[in-house]
Amino acid sequence: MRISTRTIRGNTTRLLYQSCERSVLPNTSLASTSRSTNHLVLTPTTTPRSDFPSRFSTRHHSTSNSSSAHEIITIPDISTKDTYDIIIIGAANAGLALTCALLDKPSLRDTTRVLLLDGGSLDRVRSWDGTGEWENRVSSLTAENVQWLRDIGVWKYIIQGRTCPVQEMIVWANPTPNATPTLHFPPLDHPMAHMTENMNLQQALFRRIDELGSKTVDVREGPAGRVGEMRLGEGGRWVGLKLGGDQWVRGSVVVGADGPNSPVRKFSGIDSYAHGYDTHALVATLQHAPPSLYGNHTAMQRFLPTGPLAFLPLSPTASTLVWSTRPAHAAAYKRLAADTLAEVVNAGFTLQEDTLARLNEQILRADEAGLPLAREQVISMMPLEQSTGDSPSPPPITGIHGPSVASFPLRLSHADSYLGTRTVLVGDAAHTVHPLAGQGLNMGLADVRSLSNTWDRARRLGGDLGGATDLLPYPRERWPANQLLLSTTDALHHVFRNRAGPINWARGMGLEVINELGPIKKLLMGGAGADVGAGAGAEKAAKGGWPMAAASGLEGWLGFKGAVGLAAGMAGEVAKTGLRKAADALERR
Amino acid sequence: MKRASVVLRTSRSSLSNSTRSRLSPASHPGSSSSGPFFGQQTIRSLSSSSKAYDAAPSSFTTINQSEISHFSRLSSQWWSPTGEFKLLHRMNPTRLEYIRQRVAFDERDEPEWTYAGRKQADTRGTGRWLQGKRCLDVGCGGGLLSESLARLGGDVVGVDASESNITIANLHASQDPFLPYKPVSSPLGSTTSSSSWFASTTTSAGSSSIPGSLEYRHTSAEALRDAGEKFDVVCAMEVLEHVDEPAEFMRCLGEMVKPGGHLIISTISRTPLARLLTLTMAEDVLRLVSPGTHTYSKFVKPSELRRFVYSDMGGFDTWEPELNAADVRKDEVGETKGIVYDPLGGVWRLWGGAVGTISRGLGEGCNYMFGARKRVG
Repeated sequence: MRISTRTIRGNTTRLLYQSCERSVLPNTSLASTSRSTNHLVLTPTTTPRSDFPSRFSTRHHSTSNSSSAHEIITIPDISTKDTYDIIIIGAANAGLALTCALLDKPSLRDTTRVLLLDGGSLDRVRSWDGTGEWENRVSSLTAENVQWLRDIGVWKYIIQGRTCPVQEMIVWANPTPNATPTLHFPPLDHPMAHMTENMNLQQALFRRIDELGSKTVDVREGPAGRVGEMRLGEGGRWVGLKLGGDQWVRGSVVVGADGPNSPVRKFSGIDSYAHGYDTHALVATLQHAPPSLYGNHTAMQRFLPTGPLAFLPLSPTASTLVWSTRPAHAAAYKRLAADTLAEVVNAGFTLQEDTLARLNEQILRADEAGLPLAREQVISMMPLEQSTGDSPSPPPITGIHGPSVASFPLRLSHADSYLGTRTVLVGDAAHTVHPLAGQGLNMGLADVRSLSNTWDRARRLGGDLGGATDLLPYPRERWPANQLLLSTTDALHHVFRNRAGPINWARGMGLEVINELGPIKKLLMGGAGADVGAGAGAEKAAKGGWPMAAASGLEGWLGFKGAVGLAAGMAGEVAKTGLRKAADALERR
Repeated sequence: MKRASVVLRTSRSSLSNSTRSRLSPASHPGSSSSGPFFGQQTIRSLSSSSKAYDAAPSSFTTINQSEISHFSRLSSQWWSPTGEFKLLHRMNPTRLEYIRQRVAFDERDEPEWTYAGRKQADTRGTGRWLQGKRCLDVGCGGGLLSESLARLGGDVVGVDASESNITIANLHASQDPFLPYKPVSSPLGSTTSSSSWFASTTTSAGSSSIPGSLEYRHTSAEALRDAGEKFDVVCAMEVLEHVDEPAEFMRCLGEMVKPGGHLIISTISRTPLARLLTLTMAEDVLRLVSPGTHTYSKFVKPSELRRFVYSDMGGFDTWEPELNAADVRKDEVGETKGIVYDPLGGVWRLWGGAVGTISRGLGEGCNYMFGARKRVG
C-alpha cells in the first residue's frame, strides 16, 4: 500500500531520534554546511523553562561567516517542497488519527500540507490484515470515539472481525471474605465501548490517509523520518527539523505525538508532573470457552490489593488480560509457563485475597529459586472452596497464547502545558494514565479531535497554525478534562490498592456508594464512553476552564465551582449512606 | 488601539450633531478648534506634519502626533501574545469571524438554488475565502489583521501612519514562509535606512506558491484614495477612535470601496459602560492597556456611525440596505454588532440582538463592529 508519492522507506530497525540536548551543541553543524545561509538562527539554550525571548539566543546573521560564526548554527535554505504547515512526529495512534482528522476538515484538506514522520518502519501497519494471532496491545474505544471514527470515515476500514463490542461492565473487589461490593454497568441500547487492537486501528487510519491524503500528506519513515535536530527559525515563525540524510524540513508547527518520552516536549522545555506507580501491567491473550450463548461481551475488572486485574473480551473464545501488579510479581508471572499462568489468572479472578497472597508468595519463592511452579503445583495450592458464591467471575481460562505475554511499567504523567513555541503535544506525549479505566487512547483521540477543530477554526479565520493565541482553545479544552480523568484514575488506584482498616471499609463502601450514586456513576460511564451525551456535556463543561497556567483570573471559576459542587455532593452522599448504615445496624440490634 | 492618519481635503461641515466627536485642543498643537471638530477645519501646514508625508499629494493632514508617539512607544510589543496587545490578539479571530459573515455569507452572493445542486455541501467561508479579493487594512499596526487576511488568500495592503509599526509588520511578515509576503517599499519612495535591511533577509522560499499577496505601506488612507486605489474589502480596526477627523476618515474609506465591496469598521461606543471598561478598568485598574491609549470624547456611537453613512456617505444610493436587519431603518446604513470580551472563556464574542433591547444595548455598549456593502450599480 502506497501512502503518497513521497513515501520514503527505511530499514526496519526503529531508531530513536536524539533529543534536543545534543542538538544544542553549537559547533557541530556549521562545519559541515557550506551552503548559502541568509538566515537569522535562534538556538535553544539549555535552560529548560523560561520565557520565549530568553530561551533562545538571537544571533543576527550577516552575509559573511566571520569570526563569530562558530556561534551560529546555520540552517540551509529550505525549499518550498520541504516547507509544511504541520509536521507530525510519531505515526502511532495519535499521529495517524490527527492526520485523518485534519484530512476530514475541508478548510484544512485543500490548504494545508502535512508531513508525518516516524523513525521506524510502518510496513507492518501497512500490511496488517487481521489474520494473525491477537495482538497484545489492545485498547478500548469509547462509544463517543467510535462515532467520531465513523464520522471521519475511518471506522469502515476497521476489520470488524477483530473488534469486539462491550455491552456490559462489572467491577468488583473482595476486601473481606464476605463482602463483594460490585459496580455494575448494565447493557445500554448501544455498546459502551469496542475492544480493538491498536494495530487494527492504525491500519484503518493508514488506509483512510491513503484514500484522501495523496495531495497534502507526505509520510517519511525509517531513517529518512528520523529527527536529528530541531531548531526554531528566525523570528520564531517556523521550526526546522534535520532529518536523516542531513535534509532539513520546516513547519509552521510541530506536533509531538511521539510518546511518553517525547523529545518534542523536551525541546519545548515543558515540564511534566509525573510519578511512577511501582506497578507493572502484565498483558496476555486468554483463551476460554464462550461464556454465554450471547457471546463474549462483558468486560470485568477485579480490584486486588496488588492492583486491578482486567478481563477484556476480544472474541467469543479469546479475551485480553491486563493485570496491574507489583513489578516482582509481574516478572515472576512472565517466567511461568503459559498453562501455569492460565491457572494463576483463574486464581486471580476467583481466590480470596489472603489465599491469593499465599499463592503469590509461593510463586515468588519458586521463581527466586529458579524453578517456576508447574500447573499442577498451582492447582494443588488452590483450595476447593475457591470463592464466595456470589462473586462475579469470567469464564475459566483454558490457555494463554505464550508470545502474547508481556509487561510494561505504569506511570502517571501530565505535561504542565500542551503548547511550546510552535510545538503542540498530543496523546501520550502530553499525558500517560493508569490503564484501569481504559482511557489512555481515548484521551489521545479526544486531544486529536479538539486540536483538529482548533486548527479548522484558525484556518477559516486566517489564523497562524502555530501561533499561541490561535492554539489556545486546544489546551483550554483538553487540559482540565485530562487532568480530571488523570486524578480520578490516580485516586481510584490508590484507594483500591490500600488495605488499611478504615480505607478498606471506605473502599468497600465506596463501590456501593458509587453504584448507587447517580452523578458519579454517570461520570464514570461518561468517561468510559457509555453515554455519548454525558461525554459531550462533560466536554462542554470543561470548556469553562480549570485553573491552569494559561488561564487568568476569573477564568478558572467555572471549573472550580464544578469541582466544589462535585465534592460537596460526594460528601453529602457519603454522610447519607453512613447514616443509613448506622440506622440499619441499630435496627438489627 | 491602532491609529491612522487622516488627511483633510474638503471642508464639509454639514454634519449632524450626533456624529460629533470632540477634540482636545491641548493635545493637538496644530489645531485651533475648540468646537465640534466635524464641522471645523484642523489645518496643519506641511512643515508641521510628519516628514514621511512631505511627498503626499494631499495638502493637509490631521495626524494626531500624540497618538503617533504613543503607539510608536508600544510598537515593539505588537507580536507578544501576552503583552500590551494581548486583548487585541484575542480579538482578531472574532473580528475575522465578523468579516467572514459579512463577506462570505452575504445572501446576495449566494448561487441560484438548483435541484441538482441541492445536496452539495456549502463550502462558503471555508478554505481561502478571500482569494481574489483586494483588501485594505488601514491602521494595520504590527499586521495582526493583515496577516490573517493574507492567509485567507486576499491581496492585502496594510497601511499605517507610524513608520515603526510598518517596520515591525514588515519584519514579522518577512520571517514567515507561510505568508504571501511581498517586500514593497513605500509608494512615497521613502524606503528608509531602518527598514531596508530586512529586504535582504527575506525568506523567499514558499511565498511564490501561496495564493494572495501581502504588502505594507507607510502611507495614509488619503494618499491611497488620491492614487485611485480601490478595494473589495476595506477594514479599519480600532482606528476610528484614534483619528482626528472621523468624518473625513469615513468618507475616505467609503470612496475606496469597490462597487459590491465591503466596508468593515471596528471601534468603541461612547457610553458610560465603555468609559468604565476601556478607560477605568482596562487602562487604570487592570493595566491591560497603557493609560492614555483611549480618549473618551473620540468614541463614536453605533447609531451615529450608521446615520453618518446614510447622511454623508451617499446613503442608499451608494450602499446596500441590510437584508438581515432585525429592524427596518430608513435613515441608517449598515449593520453594527457588539463584540464583547468573555473573561471566563478568554475570548471575544459577537453579540447581536434586536435594536432597542437590553441585549443589543449592552452588546454594543463598548466595542462593536460596523459593516456596510456598496451597491453594484
